[in-house]
Formats: sequence, C-alpha cells, structure tokens
Amino acid sequence: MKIKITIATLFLLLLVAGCTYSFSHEAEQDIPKLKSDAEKLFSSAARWESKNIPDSAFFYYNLSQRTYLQINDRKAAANSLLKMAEIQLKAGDYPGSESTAMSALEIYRNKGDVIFVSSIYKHLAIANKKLSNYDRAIDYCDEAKKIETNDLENLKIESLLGRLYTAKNKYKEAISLLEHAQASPVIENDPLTKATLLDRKGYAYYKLDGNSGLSDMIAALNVRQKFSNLDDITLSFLHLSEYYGGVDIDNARLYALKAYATAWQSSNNRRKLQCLLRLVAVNNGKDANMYSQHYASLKNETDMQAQAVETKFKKMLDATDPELMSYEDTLKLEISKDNNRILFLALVASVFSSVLLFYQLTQRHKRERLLHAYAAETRLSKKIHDEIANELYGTLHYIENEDVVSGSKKEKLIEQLDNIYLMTRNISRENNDIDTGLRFPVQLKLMLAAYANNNVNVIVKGIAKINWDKVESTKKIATYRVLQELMVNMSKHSKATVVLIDFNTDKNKVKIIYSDNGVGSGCPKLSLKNGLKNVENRMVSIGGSISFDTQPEKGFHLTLTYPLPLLYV
Amino acid sequence: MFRKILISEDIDSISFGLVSVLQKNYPSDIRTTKYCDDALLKIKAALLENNPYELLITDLSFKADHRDTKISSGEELIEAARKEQPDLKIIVYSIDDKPYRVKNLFDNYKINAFVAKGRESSVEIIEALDVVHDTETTYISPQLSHIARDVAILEIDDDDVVLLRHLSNGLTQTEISILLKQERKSSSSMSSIEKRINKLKIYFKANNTIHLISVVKDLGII
Repeated sequence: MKIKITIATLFLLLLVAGCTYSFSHEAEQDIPKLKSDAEKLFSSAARWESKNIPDSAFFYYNLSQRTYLQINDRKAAANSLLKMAEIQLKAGDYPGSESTAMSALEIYRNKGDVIFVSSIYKHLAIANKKLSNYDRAIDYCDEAKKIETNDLENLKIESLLGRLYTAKNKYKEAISLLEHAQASPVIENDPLTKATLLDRKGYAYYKLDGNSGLSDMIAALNVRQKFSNLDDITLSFLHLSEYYGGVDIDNARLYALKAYATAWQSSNNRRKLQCLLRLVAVNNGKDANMYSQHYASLKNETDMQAQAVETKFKKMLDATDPELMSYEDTLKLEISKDNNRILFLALVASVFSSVLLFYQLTQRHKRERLLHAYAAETRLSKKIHDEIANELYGTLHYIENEDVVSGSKKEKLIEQLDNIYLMTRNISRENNDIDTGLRFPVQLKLMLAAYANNNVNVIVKGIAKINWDKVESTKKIATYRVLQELMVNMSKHSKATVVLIDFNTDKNKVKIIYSDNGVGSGCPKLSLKNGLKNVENRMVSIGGSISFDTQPEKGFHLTLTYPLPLLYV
Repeated sequence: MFRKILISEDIDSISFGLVSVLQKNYPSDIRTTKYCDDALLKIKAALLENNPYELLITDLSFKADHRDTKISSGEELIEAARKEQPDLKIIVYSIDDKPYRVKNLFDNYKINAFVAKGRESSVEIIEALDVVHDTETTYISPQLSHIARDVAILEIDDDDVVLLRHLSNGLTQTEISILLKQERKSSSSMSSIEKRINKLKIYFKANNTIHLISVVKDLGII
C-alpha cells in the first residue's frame, strides 16, 4: 500500500517535472539566454573543428549563426558564416563556399570592422580563383585591397592578384605587382608567403618568356620543403615541371612524377588531377595512356565527391528544423544542445527505475522468504508426523499389548503417552501442506467446517465471491493459516456457539471478517499472546493488516485485510 | 473372513502391533512390507499365482531412506493397486487426519475405510475389517466422522443479509415479501422467506426471530 502510494507520487512528480520543463521551453526566450546559447553553439562548433570533424563544426556554426541573427548580432553571425565558408572551401565545395561568404558579406556590408570585411573579400577572391572566375577574383582582391590596412595582408592580396593576372595571361601586370610586393619589408617575417610570392613571380616570368624565373622557383621550393607543406611543394614541382617542359623533357617528367608522388600523400584530389594532367603532357605512348586513364577515373571520383560534399552542406544549410537533419547530425545535436534535458530525464528515469527495481526485488525477496518459511514448516511438520508421532504411537501400542508395566500405573502411562501423541499430531496438523491451486476454496471451507460440532456452528459467507485465482499462493497460505489459528483459538477459549467468517473484496483488497459470539475479551491476554501475535505476523508478512474489537459478552470481531496483487507487478 | 491381508507400513513397531491385533482376532494369512513398491509387487505376484490378496491396509506417508522408490505415498500405491486389482478392498491406517486429504481418499480413491492411528485404533481396525468385509459401506474412525458425513457447510449469502436487515428494521414478513417482489428478487414468496428465516435460526442457534436478530447484531452482520 505504502509502496503503491510512493510509486503514484513518483509518477505525478515525473509528470509535473515534464510539464514544467516543456513550459520553460515553450516560454519566450530572453536575449541573454539566446546569447549564451549561441556562444555555446559556436564554441562547440570550434571544438568539432579542432577535432577535425568539419561536418559537425559546419552544422553548429550554422546553428550559432541563426541564433546570433535572432538577437541581431550581425558581426558574430557573419563570422560564423565565414567559418562555414572556410570549411566548405577546405572540403572542396567552392560554389557553396562562395555563396556562404556572399551571405556573410550581405549581413555585414559597410559595417565598422574593415579588417573583417576585407577577410570576407579575400575569401571570396580565393573561392572564385578556385572556380576559375579570375575576373571576379580580381575584383574582390581590389575591394579587399581598398580597405585593407595591414601590410602583410596587403602583401598577400598583391601576391594573389599577381597569380590571378598570370592566369589571365597579363604577365607584365603580374610581375610588377609581385615585384612591388616583394619590395615590402614585412615579407621577411613570413617565409611561406615569401615562398609563394617567389614561386608566383618565377612562374609569371616563365610564362612571359618561357625561359627565365627558374631561380625564383627553386628558391621557393627550397623554403617550402623546409616547412613540408605538401600542397605547396606539389605546386612548386608542377611549376618546375612546366618550366622544364620546353627545355629538358626528362627533368620535366621527373618533376611531374615528384609532384604526383607528393600530391599522392595528401588527400587533395584536385591537385592529384593537376599532376596527372602534367604527367600526361610530359609522357607519350603507353605511359601517357595509363596516366590519362588514371586521370579519367580519378576525375570521375572527384566530381562525385564534390557533388556529395556540395549537397551535404546545402542540406545542412537548408535544414531549419532538427527533423530535417540527417540522422547522424540529429544525434550529434542531441548530444550537445539537449545535454541538460537528457541528463535530467536520465536522472529521473534512473531514479524511477531503481525505485521500481528495488520494490520488485524486495517483493520477490519477501515472497521467497515466505515460501521458504512455509517449506520449512511443512518439512518439519512432516518430520514430526512421520517420525515422532509414529514412533510414539508404536510405543503406545507396544505398552498396551505387552506386559512392560502392570496395574494402574500402566493405564496412567498409556494416558500420558497418548496425550503426547495427540500433541505431536496437532503440531503436524497445524502445519500441513496447503493446496494453493483450484481446490483452495474447497479446502478452506472444509478446514473451517472441521471446527464445527454440536456446540458450535461455523457459518461462511461469500467465499466464492473472491477470485482466488488472482491471489498469490503466499497470501492463500497466510489466509488459511490465520483462519486456522483463529478457529483453534475459538475452540479453545471463546466458548462461542456461532462463528461467522465473511469474505469480501473491496477495491483490490481482500477483506475477511471473523466474528463469534463467545466470551470475547474475557481472556484477551491469553488469546493475544498465543494466536493473535501469529495472526498479526502472518498478515504483516503479506502486506496486510488486522484490526479487532472485542467486548465482554459481545463476542470477538476481527477484520483481516490484505492487498490483491498490483496489476503491473 | 479375509483370507489374505497385505499390510504396507514403514514402521516396524506399528506393523508388528497391527499384525498381533489382527492375528488375535482372525486366522488370516497376513503379510507385511515396508515399501510401497514391494507392496505392489506382492499384489501382482499374488494375482499371477491366482491367490490374490483380499485386503490392503496401508499408511499414507512413508519415510524416504536409502532405497530409491517409484511409489512414495499411500495415494499412489492405492491408485496402482486398484489398477492391478479393481476389487481389492483397501483400508487406510494413518496419523494423517487432514479433513481435505481424508475426504479426497474417499471421494477420488474410493477407499473402503479410514482408521486414524490413535488410542482406539486397535478396536477401530477390527470394526473396520468387519464393516468392509460384511458390507459395501465405508468405515471411518468415529473422531473423524464429521469428515465423512457430507458436511453441509453452513453458508449464507447477501440475500440473507438483506432479509435480516429488513427484519431488524421492524418489517413484517408480509412487508418484506412485497418489498422483495418490487425488487424482483427470486425468493420473494412468503413461504421462501419463512424457510429462509428458519434456516437462519438454525444456523445462528436462535430460538426465535427476535433472538436471531440479537445474535446477528452481536456478530456485526447488520
């Protein structure tokens, strides 16, 4: 009963907690909360990025971007977008990267932080270069250059512009730009940028007259090899191979192979394709054929990957609700965003389930204990019956028939032995085994009727009203024993002439009322000491209770109550 | 008189006593055995020799010992023996006097007599033998006779309680009859009400209706 209440309370608590929680979610979210949410999202995105899991990073940047927009923090939103664009660029999704950077620019155009704006322009320039939109790339570079104040960044922009002009076959403009950049003093602080600059300058010279620029390229390669940036080194090799293409075909082939070998160590498929193209150009016959086949298959693969990457990012961008996200992303989202909720739910669930488990275990333990006790009783009673009572009876028989003692002493001895014999028999009778199956009600009735005689009427009411199938065997045994105890008590002490046992079920409970018209509290101490203590113990052990009232000459009334099994246990 | 008797009893002193009592009274061929399995074998063997036992006296519970037994209780032995020899008379001689078990023996195992081990059992076993041999009726030790007579268990139901309540409210039997008719109760006629009241008077040991109401009030029924 008590446990039932606790469980009900727990359910209620769970419900209330769930309600308040969902309410708090429904309620208008204030700005500080959103801000902290956005920051959380941004930092988890950064975490994913540092772990080199770009998809998740992209996803969280996207979420943070949206949240920042909700609180109208345009710069932070644009920053998130730029980060996303960088991720896309790295993954090879150039069109996506461009459009993302464009939206960043739209959100944050002509706002105070020029350095940030210029970094967006630079990004756009690079993305467009990758897309071979050289004109637009040049435009963006110009825009960036207009507002850029940092010397090194300016230098980088010029270097990029130089490369773009080379691509546009405007070698002279390229060279003048690159030379101008090289003259800048800040270049010595950044050897890699210098190497890039040198490489580009050398390449531009080579393109101009097909002959010069080698020294610059070699110098660039030497610097790059120190820093072991595979992509840059590959580029150097490629340029060198191109340079030698017109001069020394063997060297050209060697550099092309070196470039391919270096590119192979990285995962940059586009670079690999470039190398293969170069290899095809410097080889002929079978070798060229083989390389072109390689090229074809790799190209196919790369295009498909690019397509997949593009769609993936696009999907994540378009996703407005968690339902639209792919399964993996949703999972990741759940992990971080709803950490608190999950924790809370897990806590509640674990508390609830442990309470339930505890309850079930104690119940099972109790049942087992009762059954053990019952088994022990039955075993002992059988032992008493089989061994002691039989042995006593044998002795009795022997004395009766043989001349061991004689005279009145013999009679007395036999009488005493007979008393002992009856006592042992009573013990075994009170503890005999009980059929808890279908015959239980019949058996119970017979047991009760056995205490009826010429002086005592035992009346039973409603025994068939109880659905005994539903009552556990431990409770049946307890019922039987308790009633037996009461009947023994009655026949010994009460001097009753009418006994009524009334069986009822009341709201998932069994209620048995015993009443007689005996002397009642004429000897309450005696009955309490002997029978009733046992009755109470038995009732408590099955989760039930007893209550009794007794008045002199008004008989003895006692109510037994115990629960029927809970439905779900 | 029974010519051939088999006793299945695992305690020697008891079976010796039993044999001596029987032999004092009847010049029969009495065999004893301590195991149910042996008892069944003996019955089968006697049937084969065309000299079957006429009576089986058996205990109900047998103490398990070193021997593995197929049949371990009196009930099983009775069932198996009856299968071998349907006309075999059977007397159960046991300490066990659980009403339910004893009733079951008579109702389902169709034993001929049940003698409870006790002070009077040597007299009772002779009586049982005579009854079983001479008549087709069954015998049961007098102290257990309440089991054998079809114990009409005194049961009352809700209709009885309703009737008692009406009586205690001062309604006459005629008024009660009208009331019950209105409620379309099946037993609403004057005579059935009269019968019911008489039954209740007997159940509750009441001398008259007033006494009856007083008794049931004390018992807390109404």
